[in-house]
Amino acid sequence: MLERLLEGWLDSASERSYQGPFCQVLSAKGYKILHSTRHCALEYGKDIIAIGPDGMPCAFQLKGNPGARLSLTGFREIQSQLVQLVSQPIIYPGLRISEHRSFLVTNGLVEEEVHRALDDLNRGWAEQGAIGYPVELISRGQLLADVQEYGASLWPSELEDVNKLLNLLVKDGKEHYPFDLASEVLKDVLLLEDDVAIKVSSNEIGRRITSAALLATITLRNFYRERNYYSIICGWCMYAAHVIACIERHVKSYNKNAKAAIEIAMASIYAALSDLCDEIKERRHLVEGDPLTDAVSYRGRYTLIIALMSCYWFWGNESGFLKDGQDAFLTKFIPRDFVHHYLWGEGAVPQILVYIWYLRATEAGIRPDLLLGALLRQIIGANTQKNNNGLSSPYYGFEDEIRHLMREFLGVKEDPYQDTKFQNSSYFAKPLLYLLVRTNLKQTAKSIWPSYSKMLHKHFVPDSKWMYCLYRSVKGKNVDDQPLLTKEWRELQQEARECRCPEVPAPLADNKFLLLLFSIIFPFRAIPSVVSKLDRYFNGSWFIHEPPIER
Amino acid sequence: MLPDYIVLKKEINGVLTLFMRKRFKFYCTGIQDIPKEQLFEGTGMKIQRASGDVDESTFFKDSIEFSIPYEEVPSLSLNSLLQKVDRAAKEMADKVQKRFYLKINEDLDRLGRTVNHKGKPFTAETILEALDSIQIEFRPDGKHNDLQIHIAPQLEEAVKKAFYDLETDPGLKKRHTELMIQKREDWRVREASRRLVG
Repeated sequence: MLERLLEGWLDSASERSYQGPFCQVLSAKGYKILHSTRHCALEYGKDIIAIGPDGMPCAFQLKGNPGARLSLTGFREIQSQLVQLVSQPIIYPGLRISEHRSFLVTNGLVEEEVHRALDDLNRGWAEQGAIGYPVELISRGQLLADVQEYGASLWPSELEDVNKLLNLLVKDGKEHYPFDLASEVLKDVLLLEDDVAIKVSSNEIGRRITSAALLATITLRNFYRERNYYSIICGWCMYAAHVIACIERHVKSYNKNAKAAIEIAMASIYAALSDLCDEIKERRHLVEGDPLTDAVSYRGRYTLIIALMSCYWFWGNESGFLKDGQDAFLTKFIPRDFVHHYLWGEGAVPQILVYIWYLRATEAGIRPDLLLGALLRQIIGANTQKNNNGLSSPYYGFEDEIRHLMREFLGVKEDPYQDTKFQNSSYFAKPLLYLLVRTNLKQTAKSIWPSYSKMLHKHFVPDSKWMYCLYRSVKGKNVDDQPLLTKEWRELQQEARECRCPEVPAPLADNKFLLLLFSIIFPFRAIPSVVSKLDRYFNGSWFIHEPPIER
Repeated sequence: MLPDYIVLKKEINGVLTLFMRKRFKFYCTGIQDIPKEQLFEGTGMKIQRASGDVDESTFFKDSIEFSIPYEEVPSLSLNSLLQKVDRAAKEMADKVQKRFYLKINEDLDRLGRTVNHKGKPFTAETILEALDSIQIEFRPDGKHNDLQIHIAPQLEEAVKKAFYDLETDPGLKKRHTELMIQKREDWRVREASRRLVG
């Protein structure tokens, strides 16, 4: 049945959605992927550039023919691209110009006439001595055999787990990515369950990482179909974090076993952000679906989109991959103030933080620091006011907040918060205070302190590092920190200098864009040390006399 | 297989669970007003106090069982079913509250915060002694936050009398007033010391 699932996916996958898993399979076969990012300013004329196991450079041109055949007419349409593929050398930084192998990849069947036409072309290119001669064909049969070999053979086979997988596959692609179900199946494939022995070979771990990538791809099928970019980002982030958990738990080398797979996942995340940016650019408004009811969700979605675009702006600028016009568009699109943002709960704080970092990076002056102070005041104000429920903890999402606010109107049987009061506690006041101390806004910090010191400052500490990467960690402690009544500014400055995050596995802590997105998607993982680390990555300013403690 | 009406039964099950939760809350008379929090992961809690003390606790699982014999099913009315669930909710509430008070007693003993009267009767002196031993928070209007006294049912009359004495006996009343003035002053000093200095 799992084989049929893969077949069904392959027969419905667009070129864009099978590129990532194809790269994962190549990587598992020993190819080193150099380039697979689409939609970027630096197109190299090939969809994927890789170094083969024999050291030979390889160029791949991908075509989507889901559930169909590549006909002669279709082949003629892409012939000019094949000419480029075979006759132009691979131009890639650090790669010397030499002969390369060329591949045409399609997820459809290939008609006999196409084989014949390709043979003819290859003979011609041979006579011309083309640098990438001949073009080899990888079609549905080969792709299917590969994904079955590297994927389904390691997927969960117990009935209960198969049911979870099936439940994932029927999720509406317009919805949120189902974290709980996805985490369950990923944990199974990546040997992250408590009862699994940890003596597993590196080869086995490597195979499981590829298999999990293909599993993630399948679970994202409906989301790709609906172009639900946020859920696609969630899916790949979750995959990457679980892979890091696997490496950490089974004490394997990240560079040898997981780095390539995570780089491919990151490329898929980047592509989704780029596609989202393009979509927003084309739209006249940000209303989604039924406009009658969208007023309820508009501001929550807006806050998220600004966060994602701020993240994309950082990432695109750093990699130099922002497409033509995107930079100018983002500069115009991302607002200069908070007016339309919605702090619906503490779960929105990482989204607003990345936006503040964007402001910090794009404007001089004190204003972004004052906005940080305003955000902290708002949290403390909401959570220390009498007769106020307070901002919900980051374990609750935007939809929970709306269901809570509209519970009577909706006739909701049970309030998602179930009598929980969030008063006098916070998950983000402490990390935000540290960031404020770094800006040297001493008077603001002093005015906040009396209320701040009345609160319990919360975060979760898992028993082992690898558990930090999971959606839910079964083992660990929910920590409540009670501050001193009187504190020395100097002492607070020393605490604010701390930028290491010992609770997080190094491959995640070192991957700044993954860590940032992970914190946006799972805000309860944005613990004080992680926020401190992210601030160092994305905020260039530092006003404490002594340097940050980073090692 | 006979028709199971699975969707309908799932719906009813959901409502029954909700009913049980509401009745559980109703029976939790002792701990009803204590702030509650849902925890989504982990095996326990850790409180790092300003004093440097660290209190750790682990989660407990409480459960109750009740059965419905097959022969009872055909004649089981909705009313009878709700009564069964209600009884289960009460049983659960008793269990949870019992554990709560045992844990509180254990922690207070460990921290040396217990006043042991060694069988002496509960009097107004007991109340004054208890008030003296706790930290009391006040509102800006000078009134203290709500205080609760949790007692065993057999102490009800003695406690009522103790409070009556506290209000009517001039000597006790004066001591009570002075104690609360002192508590308000302690609170004021405490609040005034909430400062970031330097």
